[in-house]
Amino acid sequence: MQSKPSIRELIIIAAIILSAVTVFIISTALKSDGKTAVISVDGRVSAEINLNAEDRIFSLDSIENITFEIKDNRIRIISSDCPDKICKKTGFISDCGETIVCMPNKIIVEIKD
Amino acid sequence: MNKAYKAAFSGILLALSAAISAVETLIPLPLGVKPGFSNLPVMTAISELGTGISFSIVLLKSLFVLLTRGATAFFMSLSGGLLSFAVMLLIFRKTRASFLLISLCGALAHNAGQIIAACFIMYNTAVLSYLPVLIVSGTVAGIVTGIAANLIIPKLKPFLRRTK
Repeated sequence: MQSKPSIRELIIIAAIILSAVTVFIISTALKSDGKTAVISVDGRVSAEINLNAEDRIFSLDSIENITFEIKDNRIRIISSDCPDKICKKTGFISDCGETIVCMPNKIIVEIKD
Repeated sequence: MNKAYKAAFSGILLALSAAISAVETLIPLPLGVKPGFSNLPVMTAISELGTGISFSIVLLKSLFVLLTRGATAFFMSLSGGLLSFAVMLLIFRKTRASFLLISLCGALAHNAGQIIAACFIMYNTAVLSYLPVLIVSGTVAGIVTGIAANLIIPKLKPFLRRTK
């Protein structure tokens, strides 16, 4: 145990930073617009929504406590009864593979092609 | 360090780590990303108070999350906390690395533990799409916290050793 990092330690840290940057670059490079939003509850698909449809605000019958909004081919959650509101803070998503997760309600919105 | 002093100091560290994690939920970062400064008291405990007490601090901190933020947050906190504690303890015991590396690996392990828990809770692997965000944010947060730990914990040591 030392209070100052050694050269060897700094090399390991530099390698970790380099891999993090690589992961970031690859994940941004692979982005492409998706066409459908798949909403699943508790691991089961409950709705598939076309993002190219007209802008609207809606709720699903199976998940009344959450309101979704579609705008400019993107989707977001605008209100939810969960305590931490991480789903709301995620904001709009539109790229393939992007997700909005609401852990307390076990809801995932995933963008697919 | 005498027994009473040790008990008091453990309590202070637990209170600090619970308070810091509660305050951090108020910071409006996207995707629920948190800076992870509550790891500072945990690292202090690992270095100054030994395995048993630091392990209890990790468990009790998760219990605090259960009381304040509910069951889902509790499982996320517990799995992240335990994995990060195991990794940090291993590096602390087996290498001579400073808190910078310990904190960085701890932060990444914490995020890995949380995403594993999320996969089980949501019963869906779509949450793995958060992995790039969590790797990048974990690296940044781990380094910031690690630099803070390298500055703070050595200054704390003479003060703790004096109270025999």
